[in-house]
Amino acid sequence: MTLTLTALTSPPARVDLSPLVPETTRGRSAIEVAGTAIRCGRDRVGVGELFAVSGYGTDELVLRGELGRIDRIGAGMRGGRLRVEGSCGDHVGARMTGGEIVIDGDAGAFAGAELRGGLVRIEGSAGASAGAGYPGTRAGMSGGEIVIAGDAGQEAGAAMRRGLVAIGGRAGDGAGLRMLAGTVIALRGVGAEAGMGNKRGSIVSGRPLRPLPGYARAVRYRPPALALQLRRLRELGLEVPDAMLTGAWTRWAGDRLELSRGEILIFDEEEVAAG
Amino acid sequence: MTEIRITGGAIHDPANEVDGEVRDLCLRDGRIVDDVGAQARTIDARGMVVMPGGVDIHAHIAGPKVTAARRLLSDDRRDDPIDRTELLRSGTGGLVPSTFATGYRYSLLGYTTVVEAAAPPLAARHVLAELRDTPMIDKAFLILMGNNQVLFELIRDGSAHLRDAIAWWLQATGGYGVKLVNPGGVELFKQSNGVIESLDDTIAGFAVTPRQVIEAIGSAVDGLGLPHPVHVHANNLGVAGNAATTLDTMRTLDGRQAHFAHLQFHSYGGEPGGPMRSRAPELLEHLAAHPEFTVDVGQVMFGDAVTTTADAHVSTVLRDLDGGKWLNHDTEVETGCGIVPYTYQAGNYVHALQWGIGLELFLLGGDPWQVMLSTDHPNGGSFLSYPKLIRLLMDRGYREDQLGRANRRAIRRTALLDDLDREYTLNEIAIITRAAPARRLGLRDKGHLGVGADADVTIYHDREDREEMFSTPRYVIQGGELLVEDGDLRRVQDGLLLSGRAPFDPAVAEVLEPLFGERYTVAFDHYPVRDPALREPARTVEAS
Ligand SMILES: [Zn+2]
Repeated sequence: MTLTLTALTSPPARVDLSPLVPETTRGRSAIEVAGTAIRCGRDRVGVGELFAVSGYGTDELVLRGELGRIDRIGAGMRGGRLRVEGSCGDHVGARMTGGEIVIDGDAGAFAGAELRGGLVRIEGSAGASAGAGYPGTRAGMSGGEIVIAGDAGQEAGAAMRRGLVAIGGRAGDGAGLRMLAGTVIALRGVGAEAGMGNKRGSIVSGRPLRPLPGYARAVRYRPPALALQLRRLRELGLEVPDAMLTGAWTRWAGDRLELSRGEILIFDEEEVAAG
Repeated sequence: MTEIRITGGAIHDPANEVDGEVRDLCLRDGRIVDDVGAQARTIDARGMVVMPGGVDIHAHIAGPKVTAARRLLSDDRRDDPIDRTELLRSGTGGLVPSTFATGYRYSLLGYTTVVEAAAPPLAARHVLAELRDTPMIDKAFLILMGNNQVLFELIRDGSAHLRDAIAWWLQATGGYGVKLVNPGGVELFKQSNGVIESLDDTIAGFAVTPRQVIEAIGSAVDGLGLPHPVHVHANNLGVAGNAATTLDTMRTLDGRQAHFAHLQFHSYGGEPGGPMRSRAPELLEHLAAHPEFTVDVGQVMFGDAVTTTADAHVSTVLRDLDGGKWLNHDTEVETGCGIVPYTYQAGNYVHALQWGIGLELFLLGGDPWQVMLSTDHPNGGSFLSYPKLIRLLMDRGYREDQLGRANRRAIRRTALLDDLDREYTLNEIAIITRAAPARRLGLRDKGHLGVGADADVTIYHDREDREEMFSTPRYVIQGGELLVEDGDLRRVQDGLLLSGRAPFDPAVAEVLEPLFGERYTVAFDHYPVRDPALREPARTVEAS
């Protein structure tokens, strides 16, 4: 039986659950796992004080219950599968290098922050800074995929260098801030000031948008590479309208402050309506 | 208070000409004594090496630039969190540890005294507050005086009050000694992005030259008889060909006591902008002929570092090399500051040459009493890399292995391939890491194990791997209290603040006040630090 942790109570302070990932629980009994020390606020507590632990450690780990104050779930994970049945706290999957995390509900801030590899799937919405670099970091996310079925908060994909942040809903303000490269896609559009300081990244907005003055309108076309990426989003479970696969997009080049090698692609509904 | 008898260890106390003699060492009431009673706690040090506690003569551990470096390096620090325990405060480590972590980690390394080498006097409150929050170690700070506009005016006018002014400044700040950083050059950079080409360049607006500043302040500190002589970071740090400037600076101070900081960064031949080469041998020759001078090396260690300097111009040069995070900051009237994270790479010609020049300074036969160990923490590398540096000096095989990894072309331009078989002895290590720095700082109670000295003692396992040996002392005792056992902190205490003092004519205030009024945004009366919690307790070392 898969190792399952069920939250017993809401913890007295925020909890860092990063010591528990499939790699460290594999082959361990529920009793052993319950004895693992984790940080709760400024103190260390045993996992068993906060969670009922059952099953036996395999390549999969399941978390249940009220997890809103449980942070850093799967942070630094290198492989295996981690399933969160419900919503979770901040920094889920931060800096993970491989494996898969699925969150049935919402995730807090910094979901998949500085991701190196692997997949983070959020069936609900994500808080601010999904796939972003932490403050003080020049290069944030460097690989992997983050898929958010709902909306994302501010600064999704900020400072990212490689990889994909795919949002089924809307991205908040400041998406792709100081991006070096990589792709942020928001099927229901991005908020204000998207791509400020973007060097070579791609920001894709499924809704109309007035880009920052640092962007210049370049071309209206049917980008084949984008169609491939959108098909990948469908594989990952997002609902991508056919029109987006076949329709035209307007490409804006920018940010001019960073030599205009980045872009914002905006789905051009008028063109589709006309065509 | 605790009485301790350390039995059976090999004592390395070069200041008292003791070289590995096996005998007991007795401690009582924070001092080294002849004997203790039978009830004394015994520490069995058989097969171990006993040295005075380490003394770091040049590091950057407190003050506004260190705080700025901590803020800039959030990405480095978050990978090294330190948990609170019953005994310890929480913090972060990395290249620039938080205050508590700085104290803990120096102590774990067997160091008991550390000098913050570049504090803006205007920020003395900040420096003192941080040093008060840096536990374990005894500490002192040097105040930056080489780009002070008020002093420029006194120097230009040939004022008889210069000495009094310097002594006043130490009294006003609680500082230990006087530091010059790129004298005149920081002011020139602040005014016009200018650089010093010769010591006889005029500093615009003041009609003084770097040479006059070096000469006047060096003589004043020498004349005051402060415990530590003028501590000089010469002009043109890091620039190809700067050895000429360094030699000129030394000649300017001929016959007066002076300490030259991180000499490695000032030992380059070649032309500005062109390829660098080593002029370490010439500088060592000059040092040998001038016993009034000492240096610390400022070794660079391959890996991550962060340059934190009052030499603001250097930071803008490094920023352009790297294009990454960078910070420059002005301190009105007194100095500048710059922070640039930096990585020294073994394969890089310049970095490998810098590494090689540092080793040349250590190995080419200089007197260890004149050439002390430093990495200019965190500029050339963290203080945590000292054990590795010690291994490079003590273990020829290891050194040659490391040489083989460094840029070939650079190493060929040093003397390191000339069958350089020198290996430091334990006593020589004790000289460059404690005895010589303590002596040079005028700390008579430190750096040795004679009766009456502070009971600051570090005991090491005598391991073949010197890096391992010096990384984790078996015991660290400070002020007679056992603080560290086998890599674990056992007790936390505040170290001493060490201040330097020389008598001065209080009438100098009447000279300084109007000059302050013209230049500072801080009122003269508010400038001196008076807060008792910052000033006391302190151990004051008087001029002689
Ligand atoms: Zn320094």
